[in-house]
Amino acid sequence: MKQSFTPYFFLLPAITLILALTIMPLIYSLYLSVTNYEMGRPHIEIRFVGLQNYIEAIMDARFLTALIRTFLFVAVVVSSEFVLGLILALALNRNFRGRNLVMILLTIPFMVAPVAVGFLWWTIFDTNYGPMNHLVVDILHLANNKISWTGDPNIALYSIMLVDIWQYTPFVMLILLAGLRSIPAEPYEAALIDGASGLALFRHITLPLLKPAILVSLLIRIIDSFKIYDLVYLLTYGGPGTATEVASFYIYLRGFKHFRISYAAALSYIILIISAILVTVLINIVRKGMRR
Amino acid sequence: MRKSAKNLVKDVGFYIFIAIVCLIFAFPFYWMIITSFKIELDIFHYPPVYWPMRLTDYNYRVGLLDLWGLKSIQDSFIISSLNTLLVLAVSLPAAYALALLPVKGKGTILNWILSQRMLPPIAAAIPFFVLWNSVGWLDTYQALILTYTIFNLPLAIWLLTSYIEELPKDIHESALVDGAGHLSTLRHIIMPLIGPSIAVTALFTFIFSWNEFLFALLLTRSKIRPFTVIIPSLIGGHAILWGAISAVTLIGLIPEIILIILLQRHLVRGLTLGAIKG
Amino acid sequence: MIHICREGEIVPSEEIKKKKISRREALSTAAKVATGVIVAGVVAGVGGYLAGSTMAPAKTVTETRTVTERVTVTASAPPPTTVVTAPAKPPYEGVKLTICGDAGHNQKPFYWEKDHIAEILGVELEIVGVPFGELVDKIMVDFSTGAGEYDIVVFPPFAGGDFYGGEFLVNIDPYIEKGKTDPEHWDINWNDIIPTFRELYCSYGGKRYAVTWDGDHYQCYFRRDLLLDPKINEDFKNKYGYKITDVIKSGGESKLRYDKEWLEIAEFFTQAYNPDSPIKYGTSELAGRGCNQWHWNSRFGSAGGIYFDDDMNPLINKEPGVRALQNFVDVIKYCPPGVLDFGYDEHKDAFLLGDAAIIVQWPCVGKKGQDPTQSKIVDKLGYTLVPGFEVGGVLNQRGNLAFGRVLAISKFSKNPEAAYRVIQYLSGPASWWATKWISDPRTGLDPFRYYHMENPDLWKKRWASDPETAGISWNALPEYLQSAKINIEHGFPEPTIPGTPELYDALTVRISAALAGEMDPKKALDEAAAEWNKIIDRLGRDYLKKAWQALKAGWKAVGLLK
Repeated sequence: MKQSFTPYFFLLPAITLILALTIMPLIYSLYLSVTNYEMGRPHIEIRFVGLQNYIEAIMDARFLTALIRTFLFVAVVVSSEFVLGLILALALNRNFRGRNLVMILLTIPFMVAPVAVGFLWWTIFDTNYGPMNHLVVDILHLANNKISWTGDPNIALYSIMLVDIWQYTPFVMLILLAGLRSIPAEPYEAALIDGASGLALFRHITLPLLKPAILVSLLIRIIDSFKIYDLVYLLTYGGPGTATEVASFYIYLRGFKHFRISYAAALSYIILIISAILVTVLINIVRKGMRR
Repeated sequence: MRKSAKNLVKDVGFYIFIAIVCLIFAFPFYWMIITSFKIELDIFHYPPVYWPMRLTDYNYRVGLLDLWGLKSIQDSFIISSLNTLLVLAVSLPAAYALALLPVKGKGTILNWILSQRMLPPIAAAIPFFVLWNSVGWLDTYQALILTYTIFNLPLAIWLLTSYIEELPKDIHESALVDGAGHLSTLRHIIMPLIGPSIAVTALFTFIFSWNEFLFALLLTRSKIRPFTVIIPSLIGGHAILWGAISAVTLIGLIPEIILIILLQRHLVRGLTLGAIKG
Repeated sequence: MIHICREGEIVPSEEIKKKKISRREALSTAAKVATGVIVAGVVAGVGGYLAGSTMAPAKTVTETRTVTERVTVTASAPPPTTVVTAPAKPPYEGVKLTICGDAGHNQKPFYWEKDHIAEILGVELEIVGVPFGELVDKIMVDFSTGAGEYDIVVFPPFAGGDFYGGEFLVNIDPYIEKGKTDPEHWDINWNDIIPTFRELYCSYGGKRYAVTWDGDHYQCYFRRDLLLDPKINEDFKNKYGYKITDVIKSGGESKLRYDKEWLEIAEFFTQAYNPDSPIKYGTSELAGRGCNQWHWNSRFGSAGGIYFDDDMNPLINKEPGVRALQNFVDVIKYCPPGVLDFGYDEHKDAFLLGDAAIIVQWPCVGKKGQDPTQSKIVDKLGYTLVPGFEVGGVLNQRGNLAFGRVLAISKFSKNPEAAYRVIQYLSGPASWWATKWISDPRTGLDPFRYYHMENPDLWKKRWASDPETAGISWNALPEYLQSAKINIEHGFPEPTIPGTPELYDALTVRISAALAGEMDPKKALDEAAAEWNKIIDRLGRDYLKKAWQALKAGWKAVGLLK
């Protein structure tokens, strides 16, 4: 029957591309990670070194710190975006004049290039000329001296978090808003007849029915923020010192600035495994949550 | 009377809240726009100049001409549009198959496609770098166009599959009964029906390619300079050309903003891989 | 498969209605998309056309600056004509060469000379710019992958270790030899390059591979209106027992010690420590990650340090290194806030915009200091020898020859001879335009030849020849040039062995930590040294020993080693 082959023909180009462009590099990367290859060092004889790179990676304090820093970043950023996004979604869940315009405005931060967002904020964060310091020091009087947002090792990472929160809160809001809008009116009507108050309505009706949207938005944000790179590259380049060296950036540093391709490949694999575990766990949580 | 006064306060409060929210999200863009038109003395001025009285187009000329601004936008455009075409050409048949035809292991394939999303780009950057280098394709358009399919293809297939699945089943069956083959069914019946969805998918693909930074940075050197790479390259060195960089960034963002406005209603679906319908 | 439960979704029949209506919507959306794409396409097309004709001659713009009269500014000025005449038949007709360097204004001279090079040599020069921070990586990728896209490369000497050591560059000795019999076409006036540059950075293992293009070195700049002011000197004497003018001489050899006079002057001029100070901060430092190793290098060299011993053991954590880092830490409190993240621009601006009294920085601060659009302290700068440490009773003042640029020929070039001729042209036999770009404030290139230092009138001639630079006046130029010469002669090199970028990374991160107070200086340097050892072992200790031996000849030639 001619029909039974067609599906596979139709799928063939897609699967071939994905296989070729995913499997091959993954295998090659694995191969690299067990050698001692370094770019531009022709005098070093390439040889198989077994798990040496991986052992070095696990004992690499700077790498472990980068990982912890990345997890911290994810935790702070996702929880902030969730809370703020929820507040915004609740607030915007009504028709008002200019709503369309506001919605368009709110979608721009997370849809434009992160690198461009990084540059925007870089000028805003500038210690001497940036509006941020103008706001904090001279207008709101929250501090006496100008703050070095990207230069102070204690706050540089939080400055980057701030930019990420600015960028993606609207994203979370959008998803939660869509979830809110799909909640039917009946449960509310029934509860109001029973005399329930605002907060109880929220806790017992809104939140549970919003659960799918909440789970999806959290899942996507956790996966995406784990990969953070663009903002770090632009705003701080991993500095000051190593204060903003996140996992992706550290791999870039080792692989492309120090030419240690094989070590970077090992680091990448470790990140990949962590990512896979993280995502599998999260998807399972989401699935269980959706099934109710 | 008391009740409507309370409502008035609540309404005013609400609009103030909205205004503050808009200010927070609009201000950085406003800042960039005026910086691109400011003269250097106003850019490096404290307190900051929020309403410049002196404007110039110098930054645009320097940014676009001297600093390769236009070339970089051209490069991004080439890469993004060719990638979009490639992705559409490959994902349409795949989505058709997954949505309408009996395929073994459909769930697995779809899951596998989703799992591409979790790949941190840097983990793929190294093997891709070595791969393209081995065929001499570093610093070429095709390297980026092909690389981006890894990230765009799963999304496109997923989206199109979910859109096709929403079509009424009888349309497909009646076409087959009429004796049409799968290919012509795809071309003449399904595709027109999901026209807007194809457009939406195309726009997402285009935007994600346009925004991409890491691979653009690592896989290009000097011949190809996509827009996202141009920005950090202009920072640093001996002179900070904020005005010019702002001009280039702005020009690079304008195509995106147009597309975003067009995509407005379809965003939620696209961004959550169809899990939530917007 | 994630799929939301169907409660919130619309009933199928409504969906069909939506789909039917949507066909009209489809058309309108399609129309919108098509328009958008066409518009974008037109923009890109026009842009591409314009980009193709990018480096066309200047667009003139008039702007008002703070100076009262209107000044005409040109976006990229065509150069004045040179004195070299074009031959009847250019020797390298049809040869195409690619030169790669950091993008931006340092490439202006290539653009200025492109046409002349075509006229005189017949070479078509393609100029490729790479972002500053990526320059070394990208060149390395080109070399190590054998792509060979670049014929002439511009790079900072600290990366030279990897390039020389990897044998990626062409030895130019044979070409220089030809200069003996045919100076006009082959001579690059090697001995005119100040010895520290040519011995430390251009030679390797006794062979020459590169020609200096940018003479980066450190000078000490100070506010002469403040530090040489009699009243201020009186106040200073009352506090510290000597006058600033006793130890500082503009254009000459000052006698500043990092751990005494430098700290005291910095303290005196920092308002937080001396409310009567006429200026906010005493000094500023290049303390940011990736840059602070240079200022540490200066102190390290002054304290008598050497990077390695003959077995390639790092010596950075011995007494000179700790002394250097401790002093660096001590100075931070006299610097502007945010100094821990200062890069090139912030550090320069701290001085040029009037916030710091005395700094150590690159030579371009001098010429930018005279440009009213970049500096608020025009005509108020003094220039002198960098500070140092007393070692065994002798004051040892050494500034790091930090960064800089050299021109070299890639071994993958198909026409190295033509490439050398281009380099020779740019280096200039003795004609006045050898100072053309060194003296131009629009580039970041700095003097490195005796010829540049000893001819201030040529600088003035250069400025007068171009409308944009004609307004520059620099009465103190001779002092600046004297100071430059002295500082270069007192220069201390960067480590230029293979793997330097990685060594620097290990070092700079710990210097940052020490400066931020997170680590004790000795501990920071011990950790850095330990990591250096690991790196050296991984790259091959014997291989690096050979490289170090190759460099030592240069160190001995300039008196840094016995």
